[in-house]
Amino acid sequence: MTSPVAITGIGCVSPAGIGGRDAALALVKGPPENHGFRVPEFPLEDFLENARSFRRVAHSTKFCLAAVALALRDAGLEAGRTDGSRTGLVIGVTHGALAFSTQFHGGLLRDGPEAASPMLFAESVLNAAGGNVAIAFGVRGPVHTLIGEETVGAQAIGAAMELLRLGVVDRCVVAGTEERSAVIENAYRQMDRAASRSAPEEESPPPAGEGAAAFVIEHPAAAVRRGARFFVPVLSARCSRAGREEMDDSVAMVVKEELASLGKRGEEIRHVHVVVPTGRNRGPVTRGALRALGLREGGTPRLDIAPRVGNAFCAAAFLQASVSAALLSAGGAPGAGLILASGISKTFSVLLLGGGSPEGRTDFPGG
Amino acid sequence: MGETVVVTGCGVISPLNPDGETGRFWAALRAGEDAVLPVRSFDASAYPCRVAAEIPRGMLELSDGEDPAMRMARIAFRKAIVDAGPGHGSAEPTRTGVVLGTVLGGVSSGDRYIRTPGLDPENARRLLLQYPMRGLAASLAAEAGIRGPVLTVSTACASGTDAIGLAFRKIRGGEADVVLAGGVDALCEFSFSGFSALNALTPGKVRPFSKNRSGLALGEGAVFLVLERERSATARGARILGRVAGYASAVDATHLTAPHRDGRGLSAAATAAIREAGLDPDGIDYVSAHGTGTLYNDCMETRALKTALGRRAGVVPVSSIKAILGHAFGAAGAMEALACLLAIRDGIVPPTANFEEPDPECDIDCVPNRERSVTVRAALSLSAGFGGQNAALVLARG
Repeated sequence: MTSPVAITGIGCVSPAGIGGRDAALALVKGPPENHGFRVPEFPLEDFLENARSFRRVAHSTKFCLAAVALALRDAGLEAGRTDGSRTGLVIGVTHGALAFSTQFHGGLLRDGPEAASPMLFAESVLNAAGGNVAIAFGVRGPVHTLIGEETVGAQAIGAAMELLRLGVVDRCVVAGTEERSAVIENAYRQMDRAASRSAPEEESPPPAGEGAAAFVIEHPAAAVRRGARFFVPVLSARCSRAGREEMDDSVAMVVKEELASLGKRGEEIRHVHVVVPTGRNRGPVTRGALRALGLREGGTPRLDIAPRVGNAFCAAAFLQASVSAALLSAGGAPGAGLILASGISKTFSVLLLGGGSPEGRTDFPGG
Repeated sequence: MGETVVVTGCGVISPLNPDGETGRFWAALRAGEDAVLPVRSFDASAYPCRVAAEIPRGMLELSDGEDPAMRMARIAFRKAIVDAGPGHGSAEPTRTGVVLGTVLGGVSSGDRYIRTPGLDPENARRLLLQYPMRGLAASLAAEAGIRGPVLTVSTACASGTDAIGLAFRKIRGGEADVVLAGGVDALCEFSFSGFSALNALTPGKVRPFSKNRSGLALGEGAVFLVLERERSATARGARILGRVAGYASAVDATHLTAPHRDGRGLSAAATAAIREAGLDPDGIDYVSAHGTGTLYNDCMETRALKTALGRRAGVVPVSSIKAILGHAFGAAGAMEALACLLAIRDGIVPPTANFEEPDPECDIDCVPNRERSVTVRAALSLSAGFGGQNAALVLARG
């Protein structure tokens, strides 16, 4: 599915740093740091005037609030400068505030119903981040929280494109967020053990990570009109599922279809980002993409943030997209970035971001 | 204007029809049967409120370790496919999708994991992966050979309504030809204790819009509707239950758990959905209310209806089936959308059961206690939830 929309703001919260496009680039530059795959503590006051109202939120919500504040700032759309009823919000979540959920549960089991905390319950629902972001930034249009694997990044961007295409909103904030929790680490440790027993040749998956990334997405014409400083067209966001055929065949077919629908050639792809943290799908997805692009292994830079910052599940796909957007915008040159994501199911996503600049309007569909 | 989107199949499992028979569901709704009973699936004796609407676990025939919500969703999904009749599957697999709404996901699995120390690694892994229910929609899609858009949406208690609305947009916008859309949630002590902690539960009957209402009761279940392009449905001779004519969502952006007092977001969603359907308030013949039976919700909803419908708000029949079914979280909006379609089909609107005493602040016609014959050309179905979420669907005659 193609649609003339563009990313005009980026916010990143990751173990490697917190910021806008610079923080996105830091995800792939420099040596790995000893951050324990956790986002460093930070005061929310640095990002929100009314931070006190959000002092009790879960980590995943806090990351999301900061990332959205940074993206709006990057887009030049700070609070009060937009019509909230014409702004949408799509949030991607894999596990949500599981630390709060387990804390709530623990209290209930240990001390009985009277000890059950209403605050922990309310802040642990899957749409808690979306609700809090809407309150913090006055978003009053549609707010959707999508649940899923790493593919939810492309799904969320696709949903935002749909809202813009249908004229439901004038701009949409899209964000993905995830926090580390003991429950998640335990589950995936056990899964990794099982995977390594069945496929010992596959590389070990990265440890669980955390973080958030947010984008402001607008119609290119509207962004140009208001003088947006930063500009990366979203060319395509599509999810599919491998059927009876192998995963690599299915990925190759979908990537080829998307490139053909855009009139692009494989060599125009400047970066390939593969967000497939678990072993089983990683090789097939990479092979499928390279085949579709007509490239040999190593022919196009493959960028993977997971070894540096861990697997932040759906947030990883958003963070990878922020890297791609930051790289594409840095040079103002034509070309495109391809972000492929897949989790533990046979579902995968293809996200294509374009290069160029608002002035040059390279890769600027509908511009 | 995009494609006309029709509903050609439905599947529902609820406390009123644990066997998954839609006819039984509708007959019990029309009769105002009360499914809210003392809690049986866990020991609720320590709670001040001890009632809920449950599906007996024995009737779900759960396999070992299977999450009850997953089982309910599978039952409703399969029933909907059968109900849509042969031919709906002739759409290209890549042009067929699934959109599922859920609030709590596989929280029953999380509950079981935390309560069962010393689980073997395989069972622990399975329970933990079911916890957020991230894979259910993909699993349902795989079962049916579906390879188009697959989404799981969680917008609190508006999830089921939003799922149908997003599916409607995927067809209307040309991304898909057929989408199975619905909602699911299962009751467990985790969710019960959360709503108890929020003082939202009633100790007795659910009485939406009654002056003596005292809170909501929790429920559970699953619903799937088969949404399809009208052209292809007509071409294959499908039975058309009704049309999805309009959808909108909007948030209050005021408080995480309390609605905006004047129903700002709900009225905005209702107004936009009616507009998208090409109607004005006079075109709405029935409203299926969110109608939880809490003090704040029902006042807020009355104000929202007055804003959205104007003078029509005082005369249009408005009922809440939550008095009968309890609040089934992510399934609630989809159950209510189905009730609207059945009301359109039969010209009968279900009652607001357990109604006792009019509330001057809820001065609407809430169809108290008895079903009513009404020619319904178009119905408005409303949902609201945590996070200030609001969603509205307009369902119309096919």
